[in-house]
Amino acid sequence: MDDDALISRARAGDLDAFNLLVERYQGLVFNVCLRMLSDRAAAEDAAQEAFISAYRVLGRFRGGSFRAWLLRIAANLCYDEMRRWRRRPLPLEAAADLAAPAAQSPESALMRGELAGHLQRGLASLPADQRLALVLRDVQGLAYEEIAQAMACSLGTVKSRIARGRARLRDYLKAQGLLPSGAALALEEE
Amino acid sequence: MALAWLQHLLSHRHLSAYADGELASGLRRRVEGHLARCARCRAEVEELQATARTLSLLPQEAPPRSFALGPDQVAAPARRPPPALALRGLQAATVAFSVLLVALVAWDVAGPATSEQAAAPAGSQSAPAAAPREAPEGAGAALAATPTPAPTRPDMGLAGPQATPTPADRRRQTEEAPAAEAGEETGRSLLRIAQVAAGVAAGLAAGAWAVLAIRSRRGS
Ligand SMILES: [Zn+2]
Repeated sequence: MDDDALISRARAGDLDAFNLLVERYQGLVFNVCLRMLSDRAAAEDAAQEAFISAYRVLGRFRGGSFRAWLLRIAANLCYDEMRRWRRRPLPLEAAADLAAPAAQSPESALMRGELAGHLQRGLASLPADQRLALVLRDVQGLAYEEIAQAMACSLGTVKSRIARGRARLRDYLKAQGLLPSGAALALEEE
Repeated sequence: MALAWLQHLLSHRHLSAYADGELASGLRRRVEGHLARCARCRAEVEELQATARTLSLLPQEAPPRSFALGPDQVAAPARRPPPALALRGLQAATVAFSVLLVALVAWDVAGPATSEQAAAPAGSQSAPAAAPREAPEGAGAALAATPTPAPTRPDMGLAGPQATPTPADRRRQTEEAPAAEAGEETGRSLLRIAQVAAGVAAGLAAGAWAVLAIRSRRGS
């Protein structure tokens, strides 16, 4: 069953239909919150809260991409959480904690875990708008048009947020020695 | 040369979107034309693509639990009424304090001549419990004070209790004019304090109302 059918059933009070939508998008919503907040517990809370408020204001959904609408709710909750952190500094170890969920091959897990930690710290160093645009694009693979819906901004704004965020992250990764220079990359390909 | 530099600047800021295949065809062809001639931009595209590829290696983590909603989570729209109630309360407080401020200023501006009439509403608003006791006293004082040039302030408790309609008292009151004036001075500064307090309270209520209204709008 597609999103629209489930949405109209959920609007009629069918909680099971809504929970099918939850099941469909909870991975996406949780991971976006996780990359935005660098904190598992906070991401869990934000994701849960996003689904609760989505159910409550489902009547206001005006069509288009449901997952973009959902991501917008989740992103706003993440911004609220970060605003609270500004008053009470965020745990800096959080990003390092996110490094690795234990995986099969210990060596590759270590490599991946270290890289993931660097990437998370790099993301955390970006302004929130650029971080969100980059997470939606490069981690979740959304198209610019859908990102514009999720961020409630123009396509031009999405373009510039991704361009600036990605350039900054490139500089960060280069400084960590995790990215060879473009010239070397070009040589590799030839 | 200058043209090439201009093309470089114009293309450079589109490289990320170009790498994502998100440029409209006209712009994409222009950027491609520049890339064929500019090694720096080619290197930049490589770096941006490598950054995007690296970022896509971030693992998708499984949610720690299901976020499916239970009936208890759904049957709690109790979060909405309180803000609405608070908004209405703050609105009412803003209006009440503004009215109080206007009344206090009006009393001040209108001066002693109308102080008796103004005293009743202002007094009843700031101290409702005292109003019934003061009203008859004020009326008596008004009678007693008619021929006296010095204003009486029944609510200040100076002339009020002494005011009885006998000539002797009237004389005594005239003699006590300096004391009454000192009392008026105190009254005026009290009035100023009350005005400032009402103004500040109205401002705070209006500010709190605005903050809450903006928040609830953004949250919806
Ligand atoms: Zn160039």
